[in-house]
Amino acid sequence: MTRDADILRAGFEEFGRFINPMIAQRATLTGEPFRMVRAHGGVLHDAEGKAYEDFHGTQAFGHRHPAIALAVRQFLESDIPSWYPSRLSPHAGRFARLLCERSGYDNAFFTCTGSDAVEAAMKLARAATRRPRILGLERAYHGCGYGATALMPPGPFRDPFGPHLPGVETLAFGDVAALEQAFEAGGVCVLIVEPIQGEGGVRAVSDDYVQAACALTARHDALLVADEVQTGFGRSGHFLLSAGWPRKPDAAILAKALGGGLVPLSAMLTRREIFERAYGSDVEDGEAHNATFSYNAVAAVAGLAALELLTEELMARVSELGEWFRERLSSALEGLPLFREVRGRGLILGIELASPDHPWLGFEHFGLPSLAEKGRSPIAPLLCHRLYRRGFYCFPCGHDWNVVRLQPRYFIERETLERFTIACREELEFLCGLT
Amino acid sequence: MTARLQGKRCLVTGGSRGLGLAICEAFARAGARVAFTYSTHDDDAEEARARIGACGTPALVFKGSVADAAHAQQTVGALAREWGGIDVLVNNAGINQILPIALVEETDWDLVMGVNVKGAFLFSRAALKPMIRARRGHILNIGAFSSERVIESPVHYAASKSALRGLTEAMAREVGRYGILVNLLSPGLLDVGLGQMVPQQRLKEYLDKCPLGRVGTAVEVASAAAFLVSDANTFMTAGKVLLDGGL
Repeated sequence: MTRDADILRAGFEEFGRFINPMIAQRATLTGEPFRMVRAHGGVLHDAEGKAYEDFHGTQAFGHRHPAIALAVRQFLESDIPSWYPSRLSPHAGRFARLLCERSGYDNAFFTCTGSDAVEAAMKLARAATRRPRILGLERAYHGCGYGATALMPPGPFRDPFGPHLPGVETLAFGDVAALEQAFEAGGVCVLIVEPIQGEGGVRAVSDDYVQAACALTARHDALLVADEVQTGFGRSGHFLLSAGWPRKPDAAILAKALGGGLVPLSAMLTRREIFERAYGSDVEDGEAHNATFSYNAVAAVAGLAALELLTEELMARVSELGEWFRERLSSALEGLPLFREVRGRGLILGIELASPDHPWLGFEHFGLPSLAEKGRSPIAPLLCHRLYRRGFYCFPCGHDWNVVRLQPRYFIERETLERFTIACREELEFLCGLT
Repeated sequence: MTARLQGKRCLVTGGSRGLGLAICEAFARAGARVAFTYSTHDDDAEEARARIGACGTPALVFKGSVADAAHAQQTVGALAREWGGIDVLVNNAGINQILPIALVEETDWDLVMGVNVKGAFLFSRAALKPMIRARRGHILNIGAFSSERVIESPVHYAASKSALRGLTEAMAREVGRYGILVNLLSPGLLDVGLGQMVPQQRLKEYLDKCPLGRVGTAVEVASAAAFLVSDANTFMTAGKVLLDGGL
C-alpha cells in the first residue's frame, strides 16, 4: 500500500483522534461525506466514486486547479529558494506588484490566513493613528485571532476567550446613528466592515451605511478596512466589491482563494503612505509586524497562478452566472413555506429559511438540547444534510443557522447549478412536508 | 481468558475494520482459520488481511454486500471448496445512520434492514446447509445494546438489532436438534464505531449510568465472541449476552 493510500484509509480517524474529535463527531452526526479521496475536474470524489460539488468557497477555481498545481510543481522542481533570510523575496515582490496593479493599492502584507491579515490591519490602524478604538459590526466574522475574536458576536467563537482586547467594540448592523455616535466619542482608529457578511448570514451592508462609514472615517481620520475574505478575489464578480464604495477603503483583506486553494495565503492591501505612517520612521519599525512565512515563494507562486486565472472575463462570468443562479433559485423555491429569500452578489449567495416549528425537527429531539437552548435553528443544517446526499457540500452560516451559504467554484457549469436548484427545491419541499 | 478455536473454520461478515476486525484477530490468535467479508473499502480489507495473517494463518477475503443472496451462497460455497465446510459464522456486518425518525426515508429503512437483518438471514441460511450436514456449528449474531435497553438510537437501527434477537431465538430452536448453537452478543458503546459518534453530553449520561463507568473495547467483545463460538460453550444457545458494563 502506498503512503497516500494508507493515509486516505486511516487519516480521517487519526484527525478525529489527534486533532479535533468534535469536528469528526459533527461530520459524522450530520452525515457529511467527508471521506474524499480524489479531486478531479474541480470536484471532490469519495471512495465509492461519487462526486461532490464543494460550495465552501475556498476552492474558487475548483479543487487542485491544474494551472495552479502546475505552477507550484514547476517551482518546486526548480532550484530557486523558497524562503529568504533577508525576507526580500522576489516572488512575493512580483505578486505584490501585480496584486496592487489589479486592486489600486500600492502596498501589500502577506500572511497565511484571513485572521492573520485582519490582525495586521488592526495593528496597522493603531500604529498609524495611535488611537485605541477598533469598531466592527454585529455578527461579523473576521477570524479567530485575539483581535478578531473580540469582534465576534456572543457564542462559542467569543465567550470562552475573555478578557478580550481592550478598545474593540461591536456596532449594530446597518445602524447609521450608532455609527455616528461611536465616532463622535473619539479615539477611533479603524472601522472594519465585510461588504457582505458571510458567516453573519450573507448580509450586505446597505449603501447608506457604506456612505456613512466612508464619510465618518474620512472626517475622523480613521482607517476604513474592507474585509473581503468572503467577497474579494472575484467571488462577488469584482476583484474587490469595496472598489465601488464612495471612498476607497484604506485597507482590504484577501484570503481563501488567494493561494489558489492549494496554499494558505492571505493579504492585507493598503497604501504605502499608511504603511509608512505606521512603520516608516526607522528600519527597525519596518518589521514591527511580521511573520516568518509571510513572503515564502511557494505561496506567491500559487497566488500568481491564481491571479492569472482570475481574468476580467472570468469575473464577468461569475457576476452573470451568479445573477442567473440567484433568480433561478428564488423562483424555484418561491412558495415553499420554509423559504424566505435568496440574496447575495456574484457567486456568494445565501438561502434564508424559516426555522421549522415542529418539535421533531428540533435540536432537542435530535438529542442536542444545548443547541436548542442557544436558540440555534436546525433548518440550514437539515437542508445541508439533505443536499450532501445529492452530491452538494453546502454550509450553514456560522452565526445564522437559518441561512445556507452557497459559494460554488467560478468555473461551475450552469447545468450543475440547475441540478443543484432542482435538488434544493426537492429537499426543501421534503423538509416542508415534515412540518 | 482466551478461548481455544484451534482449527475452527470461521467466517465473519463485515470483518475489515472495527469490531469485525477485532473478532477476526481474536479468532486467528485462538488458532482458528478465518475468512471475512467486506463491502466497500479494498484498502481496509488488505490491511485487515495482513493483520489477521500476522495472528495466525492467512485469511480468506470476500467482497460483496451481505444483503446479496448470491454473495452469501458464493462465499459459503468457496469456503466449502477451500476448507471443506464451516464451523462458525459471525453475523457482524451492520450499518447505522444517525437519523431522527422524521428523516428516515423508506430507502434508509430498507438499506439498514437489508444489511443488518436480511444479511444475517442470508448468511445463516447459506452456512446452515453444511453445518446441519456436519451436525455441529456456531452462529453468533452481533446485536446492539440499543435493542435491549431504553436508550435513544436511530429507529431503523434499533429495530434491525431487535430483529436479530427474534432471528437468534427462532434459529436456535430450529437448528438446536443438529447441535448447532445460535447466540446473540450485544455490545454497549465501544471504542470503535457508534461509540465514537455519540455527543459528549450523551456519552456522559451513558457513562454516569454505567457501573463500570467506561465504554467497552472491541477486544473485550471479541474475547466474549471467541468464547461463545468455542467448544467451551456447549450449552448456551438462544442466549442473549449483553456486554455493556452493567448499564
